[in-house]
Amino acid sequence: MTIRVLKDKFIVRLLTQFPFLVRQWASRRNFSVKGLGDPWTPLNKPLAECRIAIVTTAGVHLRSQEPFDMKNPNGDCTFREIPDDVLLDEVMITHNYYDRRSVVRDLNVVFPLDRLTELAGEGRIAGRSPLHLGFMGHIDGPMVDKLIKKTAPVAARLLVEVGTDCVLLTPA
Amino acid sequence: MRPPRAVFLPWPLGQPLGEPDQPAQQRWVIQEAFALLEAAEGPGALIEPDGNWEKHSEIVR
Repeated sequence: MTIRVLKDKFIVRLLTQFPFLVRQWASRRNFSVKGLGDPWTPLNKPLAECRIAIVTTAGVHLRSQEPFDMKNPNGDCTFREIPDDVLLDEVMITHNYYDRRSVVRDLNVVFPLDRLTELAGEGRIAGRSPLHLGFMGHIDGPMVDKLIKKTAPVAARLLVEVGTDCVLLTPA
Repeated sequence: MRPPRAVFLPWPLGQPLGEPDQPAQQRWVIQEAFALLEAAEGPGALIEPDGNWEKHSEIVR
């Protein structure tokens, strides 16, 4: 295990133990993007008629897919397609910047397929989208521009093409 | 840039929808998000529901 990985693990444990440090870090960051307003699309039909896709930034992907790049100091703005009929043992996590113990124990903590199934059974939603997406949330510097101009539009188009109505976006 | 709609809970990193194996707690978070999806009238809607960790947990402490 490299020193960098050890350092990342230490920082993750520290932030997990002391959540106020996360708030302090976030309060010093500028998340604004010049020239872009807030995205908005109104809900145009009852939620009970909507198919929901999960888009998570918790680093979820299939074992058969290339892991997210944890070496680039600016992170990784790519995404991985996760089919709705995925089996639990086909999924893994690549993300060095949060405590993954809970997710390893119960994927629903960040990727709530079971919860959406239950809510569809109750009629709260029409069902799950046939496709979900996984991102890794460390995206910084030039990766932000690439995410906005290239990756995110492709991701959105993919979800629309398969009949997704709404997205549940979950962080890590 | 703000997200179009957001539910914020002061829960530990790695547990955005709650604790593992706590379906009721996880469902509560998702239901709050769905309620906001239905009610929000414009971008930047952010709610901070009563996110007392133990209130929504079934774990006996």
